[in-house]
Amino acid sequence: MKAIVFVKEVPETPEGVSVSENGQVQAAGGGNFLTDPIDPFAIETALQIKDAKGGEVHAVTAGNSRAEKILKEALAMGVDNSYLVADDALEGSDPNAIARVLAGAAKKIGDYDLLVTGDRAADDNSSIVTAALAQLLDIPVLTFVSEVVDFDADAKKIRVVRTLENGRQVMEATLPAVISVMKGIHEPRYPSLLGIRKASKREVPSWSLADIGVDPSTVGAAGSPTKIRSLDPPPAPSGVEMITGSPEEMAATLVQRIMDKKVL
Amino acid sequence: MSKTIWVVAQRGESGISRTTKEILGKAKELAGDGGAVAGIYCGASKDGVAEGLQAAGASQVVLMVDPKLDTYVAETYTSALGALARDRKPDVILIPGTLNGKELAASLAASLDGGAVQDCTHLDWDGDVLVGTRAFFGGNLTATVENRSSGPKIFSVKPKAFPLPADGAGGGGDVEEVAPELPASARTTVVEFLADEGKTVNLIDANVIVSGGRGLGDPEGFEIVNDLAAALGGAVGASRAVVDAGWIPYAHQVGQTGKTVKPKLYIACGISGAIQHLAGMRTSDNIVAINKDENAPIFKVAHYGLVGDVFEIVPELTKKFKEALQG
Ligand SMILES: Cc1cc2nc3c(=O)[nH]c(=O)nc-3n(C[C@H](O)[C@H](O)[C@H](O)COP(=O)(O)OP(=O)(O)OC[C@H]3O[C@@H](n4cnc5c(N)ncnc54)[C@H](O)[C@@H]3O)c2cc1C
Repeated sequence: MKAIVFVKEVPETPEGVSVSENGQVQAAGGGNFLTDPIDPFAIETALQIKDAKGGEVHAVTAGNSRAEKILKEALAMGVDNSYLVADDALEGSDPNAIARVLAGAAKKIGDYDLLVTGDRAADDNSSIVTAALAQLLDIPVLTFVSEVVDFDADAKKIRVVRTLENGRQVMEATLPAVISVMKGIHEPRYPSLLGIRKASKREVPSWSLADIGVDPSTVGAAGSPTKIRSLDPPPAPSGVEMITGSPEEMAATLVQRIMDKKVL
Repeated sequence: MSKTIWVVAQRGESGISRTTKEILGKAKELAGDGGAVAGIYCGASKDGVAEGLQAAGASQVVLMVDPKLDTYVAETYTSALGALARDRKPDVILIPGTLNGKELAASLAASLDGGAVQDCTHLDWDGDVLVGTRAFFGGNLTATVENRSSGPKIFSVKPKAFPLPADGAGGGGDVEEVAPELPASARTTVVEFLADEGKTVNLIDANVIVSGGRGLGDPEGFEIVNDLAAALGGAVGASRAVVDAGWIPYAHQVGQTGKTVKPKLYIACGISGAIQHLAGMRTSDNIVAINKDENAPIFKVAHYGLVGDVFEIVPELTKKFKEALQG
């Protein structure tokens, strides 16, 4: 079994996050970036399949050299190898373009059975990469997975539960396939001290776009089909009316307001 | 300016879903004079679909009916819609922003060499460029995103982003049946669907949501919230703190890592209003906050604030709403 997990760095908080002229999301004052909180769930999912069935797990991210940090965290959790795609031409890539880059990295690693991502990135919240990857690699996709019921590397099949708005859907796909996992699918393991120490000594190979056979004109600010024009604070609230009095009086006043507004 | 706008139809309880209708209403505005709004449907049965699409404003209807399209699956729907789009080249494709709808938007965009913008709550032309507005970073920021794909510009649209069009807004135009282009073999299959029990957890469609937080003290505290929700015919929501504490299932969670809701009335009981909670409810039409701490951040987004003990105020509200609604 060979799995590839796609991880991503995100700004530590939304405070001070902005977008550059070419559509690149930036943290305040070059601020702190962390592993996306969803990624440990994706890594854990792949590691549990490896623990049960044997095989190897690889982690990949696309960005700049700063992202080496999150790849070392993946190594510390127990993935076998981490790869960084770093290229100046990536600046300003939207999620649709990032999917092209990750598809290139998956092909470079080759021979995969399973690709795993988080169900939505903490910053962008787009849920685009997973399904786009499936199209680009011509493999099945299962998004919003809350449970892997069965992984059969011999029969080349995976069975999962997806949690949708109004219920749970059990689905099966042939391998190779790409899945996105939801928070809570498993409790992610903590890296051991030994794992952290070993990871700190590992080299993380860095690939350029040329290394993975991706045409730079299809990514970055110019090659991305969408572009964030601006990031703004949400509209200011209209102002609160504080309702006072005894609990009974407050209740009476509020009910009056709501009835008058014909909300119900 | 006149444009051709496709709206991908989703099934609803009768005919097409509410979100599909909302999007059709918006599409008509975006298409402009002389533009076309086409309702595009994939499914196994066409009962009530064309009528529903027309009534909500579609000036054209395309039905792709095949047993293989019975349940949404990314591969089959992408194949059918992708082939049609390559053939007919619409300017814009709008898709209801459910979880499946978002998967489809991303998949279809990649198959057409373009890009998708997800979860839009506004859509506006800036000259010839269609620009979507969407929540970013769990609603802590609002992103304005342009779609400059060379082919169709794909957007998924959040439920309740746009008002329902008046019934009969429709164009009553052509209904056409097209044989869908489908993959030779199915690599993905739906084994079964286990519907959530009860309707109480349908937060997305609820007009009224009464939510409880840690201020309820313990799981039994939810009784007053359940009672108020029942009196208002609403759904019960919750903060993550009480979901994590095991007081109520995750399906009720509102916020950045739960559901994003936009009811007509949202009543927060004993919820402090952490930024991650606000991310999921701040665009509700009317927000009522009940909290004993007058400095709780929830009051910053509320329209009506009641400072006091939930156990004293909420049962009074239940009583008074019942009286008012019966009267
Ligand atoms: C990455 C991340 C994601 C998160 N996602 C979510 C999310 O999706 N949804 C979410 O809700 N949270 C989320 N959180 C958690 C969030 O930060 C808060 O911890 C949580 O919302 C607090 O829940 P609460 O308001 O119920 O509890 P508290 O913050 O403890 O507030 C309880 C409130 O009840 C009031 N109170 C107490 N007793 C009474 C009484 N008798 N009468 C009236 N008022 C009373 C108190 O004054 C207080 O304001 C997330 C956090 C992180 C880090």
